[in-house]
Amino acid sequence: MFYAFILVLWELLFRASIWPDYLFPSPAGVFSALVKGIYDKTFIIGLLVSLKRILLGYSVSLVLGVVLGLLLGSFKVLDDMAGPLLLGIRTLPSICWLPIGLLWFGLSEKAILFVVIMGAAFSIALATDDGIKNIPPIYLKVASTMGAKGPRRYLTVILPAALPSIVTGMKLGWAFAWRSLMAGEMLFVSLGLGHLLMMGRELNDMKQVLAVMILIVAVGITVDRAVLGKIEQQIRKRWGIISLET
Amino acid sequence: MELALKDISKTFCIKDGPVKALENINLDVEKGEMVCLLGPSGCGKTTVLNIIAGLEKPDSGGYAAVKDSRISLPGPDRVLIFQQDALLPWMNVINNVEFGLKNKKFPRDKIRPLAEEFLRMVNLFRFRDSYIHTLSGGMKQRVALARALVLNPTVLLMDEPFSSLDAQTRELLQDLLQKIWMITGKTVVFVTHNIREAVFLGDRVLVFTAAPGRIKKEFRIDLPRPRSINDLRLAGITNSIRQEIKDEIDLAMRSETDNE
Repeated sequence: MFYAFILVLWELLFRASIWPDYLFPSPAGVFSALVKGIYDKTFIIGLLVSLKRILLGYSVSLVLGVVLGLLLGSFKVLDDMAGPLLLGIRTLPSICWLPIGLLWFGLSEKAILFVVIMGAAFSIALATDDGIKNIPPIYLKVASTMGAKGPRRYLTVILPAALPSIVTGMKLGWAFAWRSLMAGEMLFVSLGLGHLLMMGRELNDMKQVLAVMILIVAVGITVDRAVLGKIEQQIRKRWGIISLET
Repeated sequence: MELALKDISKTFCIKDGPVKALENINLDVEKGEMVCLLGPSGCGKTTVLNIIAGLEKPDSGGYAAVKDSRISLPGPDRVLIFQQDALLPWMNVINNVEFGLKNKKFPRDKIRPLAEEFLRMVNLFRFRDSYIHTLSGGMKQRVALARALVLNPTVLLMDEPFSSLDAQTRELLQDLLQKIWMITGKTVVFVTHNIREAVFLGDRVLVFTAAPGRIKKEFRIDLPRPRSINDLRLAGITNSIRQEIKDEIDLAMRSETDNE
């Protein structure tokens, strides 16, 4: 309903012809650009290139983040020393890592991945750390009295008990990773969605710009809601954490 | 002696200084005996269990031992059953029961049959593949019981395991526990604030005083087994104990309310 209203408003503004067509295209025009992009495969290729990058970058951040978070959560000394630093780093917009990435890896795929990983790994690490610190003490007591020691204690009790918090961190990490990727891709001929966005600008093709933006938002929301959100919901339900939002 | 506590004291350090939670607890439990620790909330009876379980250390000078070996760390020879929500929700019922056995590196092929045997004992075999959040409170505590018993602990420690259940379920579980106890002959230390429950289950009932926790009086319950919860003699003994510890209850109540 709300979206229908926006569409109508958009169409009306377009018909009022306040701005020229090439700066303010009609909804139908953007839609046809979207369809055209999908048909001639430029959008599909861009989408696949970006998805491949995000998959790689996000997986690395996930592993790095969880391991780092486990270390922080398990050793109080580490947490006291590095915790505040990590919090500081997290407030740094991830695109600020790009200069380092460019200096280290040149204008390449690796530089983009570097930015993505830096953007996502720290929030996952902090969430893991937080999750471990907030494990209900009863689970740790159960682990002790039931004789779970060493790596088994981590695998069967500590990690699963921290999982609800880790998944929340994964959602945050995803948002950061996706944004960083788009920012990184805009900078050079990277073939990804970010690059298509910039190409639209260079060709003065507002329709393409908006169509690609819609695509980027769609991917971001799909992963957040349909993938991570579903996992989060399942976990919270099974872990017996009553969620107020349904 | 299966379990021996000598001169156990426990002092907690809180913001306002040290607080003595337990003072000179002496307790000997024989093999196959069911001992109930009875007292108002905050009297330190849970601390006694935690010390036996190895989750807390007593003050120096005390001595706690199971089968003549001094207690230092938690271990599966002294399994503790908690008041509630101590099952691991990321595992299904049978995996929860198998959890301790897997930690013990029990022979792989024997784990499943043994876990199933104990699930049958608590009448939950049908629910072996269920997830924890789908179970009722009473079912959860039965799983916890199976999970503890399957480890064949020297001493089974129970910390108000039925207190969060409704009255009917509680009676059913008390009955089930008595039945299982008669079959397995486990040594049990059972903590409760419910006099009737203590009298129904216990061979001996030890009454605690509050702040600091001390054993005030010991009652031996010489009723034949299996006992029935509706046995009139049971009600009689319950009443006489209630009279005896009335002062203690009043005192505890007063410490938790505003008016003097």
